[in-house]
Amino acid sequence: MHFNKIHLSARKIGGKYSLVLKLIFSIGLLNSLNCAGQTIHGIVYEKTSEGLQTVPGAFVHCLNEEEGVVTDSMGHFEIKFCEESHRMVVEHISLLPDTISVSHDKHHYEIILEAGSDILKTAVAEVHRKTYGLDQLNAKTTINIHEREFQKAACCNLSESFENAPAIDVNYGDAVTGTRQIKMLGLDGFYALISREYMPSVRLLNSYYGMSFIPAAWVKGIQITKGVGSVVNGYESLAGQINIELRKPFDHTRFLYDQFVASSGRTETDLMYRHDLSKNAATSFFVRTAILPFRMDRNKDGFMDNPTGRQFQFLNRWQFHGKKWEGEFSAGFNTDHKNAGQQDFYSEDPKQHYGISINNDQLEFLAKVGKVNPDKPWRSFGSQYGFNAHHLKSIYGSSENQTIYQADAKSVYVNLIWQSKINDTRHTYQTGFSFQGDALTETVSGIQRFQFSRQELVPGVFAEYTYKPKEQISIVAGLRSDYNSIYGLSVTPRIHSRFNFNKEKTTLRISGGLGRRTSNILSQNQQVFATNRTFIINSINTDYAYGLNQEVALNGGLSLEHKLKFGLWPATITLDYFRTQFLNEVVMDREEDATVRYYNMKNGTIANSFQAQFDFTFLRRSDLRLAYRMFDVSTKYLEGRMERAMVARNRGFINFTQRTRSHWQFSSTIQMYGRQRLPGKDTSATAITNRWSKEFVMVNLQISKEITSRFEAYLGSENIFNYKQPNPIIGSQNPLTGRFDASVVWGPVFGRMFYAGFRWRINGNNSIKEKEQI
Amino acid sequence: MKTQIRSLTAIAILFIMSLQIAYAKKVTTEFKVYGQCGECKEKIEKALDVPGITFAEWNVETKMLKVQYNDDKYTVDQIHDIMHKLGYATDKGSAESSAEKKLPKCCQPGGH
Repeated sequence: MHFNKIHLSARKIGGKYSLVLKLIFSIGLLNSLNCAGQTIHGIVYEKTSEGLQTVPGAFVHCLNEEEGVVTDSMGHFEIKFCEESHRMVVEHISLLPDTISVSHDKHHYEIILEAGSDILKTAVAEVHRKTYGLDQLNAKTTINIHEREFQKAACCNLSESFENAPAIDVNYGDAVTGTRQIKMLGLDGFYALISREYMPSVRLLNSYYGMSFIPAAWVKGIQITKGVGSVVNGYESLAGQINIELRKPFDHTRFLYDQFVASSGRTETDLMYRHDLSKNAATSFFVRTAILPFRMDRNKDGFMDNPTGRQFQFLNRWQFHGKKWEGEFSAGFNTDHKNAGQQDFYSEDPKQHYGISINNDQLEFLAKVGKVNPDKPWRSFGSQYGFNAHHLKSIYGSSENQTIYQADAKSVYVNLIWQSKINDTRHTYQTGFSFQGDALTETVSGIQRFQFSRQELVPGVFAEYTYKPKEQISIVAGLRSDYNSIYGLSVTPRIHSRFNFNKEKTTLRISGGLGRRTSNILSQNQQVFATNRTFIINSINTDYAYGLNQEVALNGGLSLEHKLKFGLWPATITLDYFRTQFLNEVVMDREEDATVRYYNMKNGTIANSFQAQFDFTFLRRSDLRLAYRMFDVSTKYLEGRMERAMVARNRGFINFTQRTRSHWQFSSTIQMYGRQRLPGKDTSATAITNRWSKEFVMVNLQISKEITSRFEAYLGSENIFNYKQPNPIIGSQNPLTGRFDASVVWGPVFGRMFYAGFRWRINGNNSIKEKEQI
Repeated sequence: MKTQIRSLTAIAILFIMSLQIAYAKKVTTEFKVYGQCGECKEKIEKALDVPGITFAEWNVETKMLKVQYNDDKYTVDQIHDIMHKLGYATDKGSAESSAEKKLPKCCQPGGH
């Protein structure tokens, strides 16, 4: 349990206070017949890995009464009987407050409090059946998505999981590899920091395909933060942070088998097995295989609609609880091979046809070690260690006339975090030291030839202070300073605040700060390799990565959430506005048909994002979600400021989910996409249609049935009205010589897809749960 | 045009009236159910998820159960009785002890 506290320290103060209390037993002892003036006494404990520890400093009072007592050094307390409310509240700053019924015939209460943890938090979320929602106590605009929510989408990997989350846009990245890309606040997904359990994850060579390498079945929950993230996690989160929590060995699930089959033949299998080593240690094994077996060309452009290929992924996780120390270790690898391009490349002459092969191989180790002080639960130390090695090789073109992109990356990450308080727990802070080291070599050979390599070492220090005068207000101010071996010293300030008012019905959040990142122009824009464009890089300093300066942007925003009721039924209205202004940007410019240019631009992109969302639950099992988004994004290109290419200005979203008493669930999602400006300067008569995409609507349906508590089957259709972008590949008839571009994709490429699958889960008491039964 | 508006208005009024008739049978009431934890919440709300009971929400902190039901199908005493049979005491009576013992540990009195 303690270790979770350290995760929390790495994640945010906010979540830490949403803790769960457990009163395991209360024993009636003495009997005083004199009720008037009767007192209640007892001991407050905290459950730790070495058993029960008394909790000094817990505040005990009667419900609705402000006066109370504080437990002494042995955790003892004595208060007057709660005559009015018959309920006693026990609170501690690092433990969850709760209310306990008291009665005249019980005088002695032994109360066991638990530190909050992801596990318990999720358990609570399950009880309330709230699968999507803002994290109430977090000063950031953080949306929690529980696994039940992304199970509504036809998803098998994370890039497909956001179909029901209006905070994230999902679109195909290109017309050949079937990879979906995300966007946040109108900006590309790589402007968001994607972290796995608060360690930077999908980055460098992973920035294009990485999200598709996270199996949704392994994921327990996702936290999406709009706007800048915490300085504790680094300086990279510009538009937001997407944190992914995978299932841990101490989680509830003992065994998992998920099977998915789509009409395209795509078959995906996920397995997980947990083994408990002792009460304090457990390990789990995850396996995923995915096969894309068939070559299909439904739109008859000669190109396969889907790639063929196979993926295999393995992960082994360990979790320990020691006396004071806790740890988590994981080791995994992923291998993915895809083939795409013209069908004739495979069946006829590869010299005359265009083929694509993409191979990703990765190895990864992660560790977390934490220490807490049982006497001083507000004080903790957490450390995170990561190592990632990635080899990527892709080939585009005919066997004689091709472009080969080959890259190797090794990455090391260390983050040490100390957390404590100043005087009292209204003032808490986290401070620490981090190190990110990236070594990257990229070679492009064949038709175009160039090579880049860099070693970027970034030691940094950070401090984040949280002021929480009362439950309704929290202000988090963070500052970090990093020394980048390429770009030198930088300072990154950030601030987040939350105000809860109107009887806790309304919450206002305001955030702002700087973010910066080194642009990985080749790996993050791999769709550009599926074109005949010539790369042009306007280098400004040969010492820099690709000769280009780092991207720096200022992000600020506010969100307002209001809870209301229509009769008995609860609803939530959320409005948010964020603005991202780049001080320095690396612009990818595809405005000329034959080239793709990369250059630094001062005050490049200005992205305004507005979202209104309405969530309504009614008639017990009906959920409705409506959302509207407006993005006003303009980029300063060499030719001047223009609307940013490939961003839909208007987007609408409707999701309706109906559950039945007999455990059926019907879910439908309607997504409306406004027109997008397409890159290029077409001056022909059909300029308007060539320069703007069409507006379109996509409808997804899913039916699922929980046959037993362990087994659920589902059936669905994505894009049921079969909307397809006409001619998604420019120049598909003549890819080897003429203008060819598979990177201008604004709509669905594949059309209607049917899918079916099942989820088989066996939950079981693990070591933590067993200990709770003492 | 005018007659169309008039007939539309009449239809709308009739519709609203029929809604009110449909809702007229519904009674909303609140009483205390002495459960303990989040698991109890799920149990309580699930037990009241039956035809004739249109809404049930139990607050862990205040122990208050808010319930809406059709009064031709249920009486408030019957709803209390559902709770007693499930193993929970209410303002109007105590739990059936055999059912109480069957509850998960956290849901039993004193448990958490």
